[in-house]
Amino acid sequence: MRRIVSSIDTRSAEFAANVAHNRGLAAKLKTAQDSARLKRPQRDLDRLARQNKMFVRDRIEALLDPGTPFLELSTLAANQAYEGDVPGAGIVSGIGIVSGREVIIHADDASVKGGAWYPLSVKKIVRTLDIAIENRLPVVHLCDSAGGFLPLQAELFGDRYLAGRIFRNQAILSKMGIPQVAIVLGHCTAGGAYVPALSEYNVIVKGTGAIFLGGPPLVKAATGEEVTVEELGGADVHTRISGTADYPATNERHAIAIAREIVGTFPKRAKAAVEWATPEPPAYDPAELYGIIPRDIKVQFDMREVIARIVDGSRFHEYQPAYGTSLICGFANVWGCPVGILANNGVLFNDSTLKGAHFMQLCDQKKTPILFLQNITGYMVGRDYEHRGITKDGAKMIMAVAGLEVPKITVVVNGSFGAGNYGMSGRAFDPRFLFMWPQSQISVMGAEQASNVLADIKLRQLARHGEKLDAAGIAAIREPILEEYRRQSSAYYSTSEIWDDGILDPVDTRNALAITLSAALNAPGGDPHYGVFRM
Amino acid sequence: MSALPFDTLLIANRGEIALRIIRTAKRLGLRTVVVAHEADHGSPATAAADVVVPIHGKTGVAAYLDGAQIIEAARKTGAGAIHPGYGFLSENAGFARAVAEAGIRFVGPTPEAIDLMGDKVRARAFVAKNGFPVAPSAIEDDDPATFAARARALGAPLLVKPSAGGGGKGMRIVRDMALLDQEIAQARSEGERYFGDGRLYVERFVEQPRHIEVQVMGDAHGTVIHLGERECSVQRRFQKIVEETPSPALSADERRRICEAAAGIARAAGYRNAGTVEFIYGRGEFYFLEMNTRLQVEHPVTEEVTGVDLVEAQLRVAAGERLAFAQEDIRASGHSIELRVYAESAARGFTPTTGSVLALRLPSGEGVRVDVGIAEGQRVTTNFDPMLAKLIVHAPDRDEAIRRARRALAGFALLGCETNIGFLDRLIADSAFAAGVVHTGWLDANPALAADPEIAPDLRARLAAIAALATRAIRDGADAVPTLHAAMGGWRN
Amino acid sequence: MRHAFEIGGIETEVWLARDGDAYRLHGDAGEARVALNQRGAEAVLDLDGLTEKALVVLDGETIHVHVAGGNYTLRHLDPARRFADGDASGGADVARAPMPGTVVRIDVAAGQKVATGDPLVVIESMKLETTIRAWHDGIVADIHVAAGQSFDRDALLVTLAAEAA
Repeated sequence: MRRIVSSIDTRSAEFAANVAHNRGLAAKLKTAQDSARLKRPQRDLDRLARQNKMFVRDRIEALLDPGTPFLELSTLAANQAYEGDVPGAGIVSGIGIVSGREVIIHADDASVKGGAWYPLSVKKIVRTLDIAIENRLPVVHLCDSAGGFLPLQAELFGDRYLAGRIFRNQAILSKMGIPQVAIVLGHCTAGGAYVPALSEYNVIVKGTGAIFLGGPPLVKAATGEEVTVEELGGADVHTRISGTADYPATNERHAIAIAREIVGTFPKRAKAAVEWATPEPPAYDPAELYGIIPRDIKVQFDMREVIARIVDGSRFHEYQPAYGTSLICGFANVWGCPVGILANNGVLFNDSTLKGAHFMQLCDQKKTPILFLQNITGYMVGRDYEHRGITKDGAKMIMAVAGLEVPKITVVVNGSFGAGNYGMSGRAFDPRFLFMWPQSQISVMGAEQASNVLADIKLRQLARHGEKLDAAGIAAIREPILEEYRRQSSAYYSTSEIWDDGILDPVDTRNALAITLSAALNAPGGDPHYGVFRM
Repeated sequence: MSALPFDTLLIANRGEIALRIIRTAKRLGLRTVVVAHEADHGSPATAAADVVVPIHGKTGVAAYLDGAQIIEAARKTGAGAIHPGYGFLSENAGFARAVAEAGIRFVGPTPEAIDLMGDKVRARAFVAKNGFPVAPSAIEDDDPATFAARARALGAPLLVKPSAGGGGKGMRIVRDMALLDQEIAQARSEGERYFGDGRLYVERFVEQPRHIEVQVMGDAHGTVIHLGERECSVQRRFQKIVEETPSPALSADERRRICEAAAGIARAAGYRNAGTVEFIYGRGEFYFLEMNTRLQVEHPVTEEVTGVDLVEAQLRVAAGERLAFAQEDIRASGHSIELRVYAESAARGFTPTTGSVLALRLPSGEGVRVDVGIAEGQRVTTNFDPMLAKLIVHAPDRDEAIRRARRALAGFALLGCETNIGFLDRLIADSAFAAGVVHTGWLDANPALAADPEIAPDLRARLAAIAALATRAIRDGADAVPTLHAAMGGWRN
Repeated sequence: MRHAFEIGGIETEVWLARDGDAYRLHGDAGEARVALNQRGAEAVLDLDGLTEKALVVLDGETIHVHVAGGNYTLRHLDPARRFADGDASGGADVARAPMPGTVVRIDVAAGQKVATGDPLVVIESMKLETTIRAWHDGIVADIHVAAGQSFDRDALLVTLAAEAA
């Protein structure tokens, strides 16, 4: 593999302006993440202290092997929902190492609304367990939830992918032989009671941990029976009498220590065999990514410059370098792990579309995981292209991406618009993981075209009623539409709604990819097979 | 020197002293027999002896105190002599008699001498009668009814001791006369329990006293000489920890006077074999304390500076030979220090510790001698005295002796049971010890020396590294982390 | 979740991370590249390239080390045990031996009612007698030693139970 030769002038004014802009976005991301992770009303922190409970972040740090990485997922979930009152959707999710095993952690954050489950909390837990299923990752649940948030119960209960899906996923994990440990650090009430109950192992903390279908007030209301939390579902009850819980612990740290021992007994299953190379940092500083991403989403840039700052030694074997050049395909390594890369370098034409479908099958054949680097405005439109079968070719690409057996990981580097999102392994195509960069956008079409379309509809309605607007009047209609469209196509909105697994600071991409690739290789996928390609 | 009239020696003791006696006996061509309680199986003495005879008792100590069993062992193995070592039966006149009656030589003084010196009251009276200095005192037996009053009349401070006592057991200092009755009662109770004899006596307690003793040696032909003094002022609770010769406290004139007094006392008693006359020394004065009618724990320092093998001399005297040397032949050269290695925690008030000797590496080198009583694999219990070994150094002068001792302590590795090795190093490194100005109350007055020192950061790092690397769970924990994640370290997004 | 050692009476958290064919030491004792080559009890510690001989013996959770001229005993504090505060055996109320010694006398019988301060057992250690007294009113649940018996430090002596309600 050859080193990519960068043509970026790091001393140019353009580069410096990009750096200033993108570092600002990275700083804003960091601030938003810090605040979602740590900023809590004092009364909530006081309550935790009073209850002798650790903060969820400290619990996770105590759980992880010291000196090992933790990739937090969907840190900014719900950042645009519930008036911003439920940071992280009240759940911490992430992949880390516990007793030498890769695990995924689901942790209720009792410092947020007492750990109540909002609709997006449920979505985040379900996604966490989907990741566990797809990547065969053992799960550690840190349970400390007040239960479902009743005012929004309609949005979190009835449907297929809502609360019940958590427990369905737990059962499926168990059926697949992927073990789960739950640590009961607070009350697990109603549905929440099933989290420890459906885990292969669970540990309960004396005094603070409790499990019951109905809490004391509900019991009183239902049957008139008066009972204390401890009598109803405390550690003693469940570890000595009911057998619902396995290990009593005298405090949280003790419980975590026991859980670590339990995880230490899990078999380390063989990963899919890929040829790991000795890792090597990129030859170009990943921090230069800040100078490469344009300030304006409409400005084109060479995705090879991005690849050069993510992959080992900046070395890249490019496939069909002269054909279908608006889609870059090729092989590289990330932290030693081989990957096939598909990266957009412009609109998808017939040739680049065919090249992409072909290259995906090559990767599938040799069982090389695929990395999609999205910066796509869509497939080329127009008579010539339709005559050449652009829709048919796009269908081939979608058929290929949907049918892949090898793990896919998608990073929305910049734009993700229209059908290009599909062909480049958007969320609907089950990439094992999908991340956004801070300035990236995702929508059916670009914000300006879309708001023009929307404004035009409105203006035509007005015209039908005989109203005619001047430029200022048109702008007054168009601007709010544009504003709202921009908000809903931003990475922050996407991550708020958990359309992705989190926003990455570009410089973190390399590590995040390595951790997720390693996790993905726990579930190798079968031999290549596809649906019918329209020829 | 003639061949000894016996070819087999039984050692009625254990630990380092048994091994030390075996060493000389073997050099002299004797067959060696050691008696051993089951708790001593695997000890260096049992490994070194030609014959090991098991002895039994309700406790380990009881077995070694069972004279009949030991004499029977001697008979069975054809031992012509019994060396009692120190402690146990070494100062038991009845045992000495029984040995003699069995036609076996007792390597020690006559039963009469043991009797005389074994009774502190009689010994004291004997010494005073012969014109040697004794401390003002009151003896309970003289008139039990007035004992307390007579004690009170001596004035504070006082030392209350069981008449039958030794080794500091049951001794109490009274500084506040109001507590006198209480202390008398306690001393009596302890005397009864340890010695089966509740009689007491009190004497003037010399403040900041130094403990000076003189090694004497007599033969059956009326010759008694001394082999110089030893200072044993470094004590805790009346138990010696460090002994040395010559004493840094004495002037040449004082040394001459004290040594001649010791030889004079022994001579007056018609003493034969090895003995030690102990004195309290303070402010230029010395008083007779007691005479130990046996080989002392700290005898090696005398051997080191005089070149005399005291055990050999004992065996030859027991065989009836004349002393092979006269007083003028005894020339002390250089300085010798003995450090007692105890299984105890200095920081926890010198409480005994227990454990197993999991690893043992002894120091060696120029002027370094280790008399050791334990071997790897042995258990250290509270059955016996907690002394495990003695480190003896010999050097041209005192400063060099201290340096050698510190080097040797650094090389003394004993793992599995806490010992006072670190404490010994702090002790001899202390400026008061270096200046030679310590007294028997020094350690008790300087408890800071006994406290475990804080561990310096670089040492803590080394210990932590060793501990972590030697602990499977930690090493395995590190090894279990996938290579990728280990290389990435504690990264967070 | 970190392991810890009691080193010189101070709880010292430590962990290791792999570092090529050696390890990296982290935690309260500082950071260094370390390796330990052990052959039986003999060991050579490599700490940031400086090698030093040591003697290392493990005895359960206790690690005995001779290094730098001193003998040291370190206690491994396994995380699960370290954090299990209180009594995991169910709140037994016991007197343990403060030091090794011998039982001189037993003053009570199992089942006997005792008041705070009542003598329970007299032990002897270091030529001193110590009386173990009832630390609260209650019932003597169990006596774990017999007169004349010797015991190690921390040995169970007496268990008290709260007075039956």
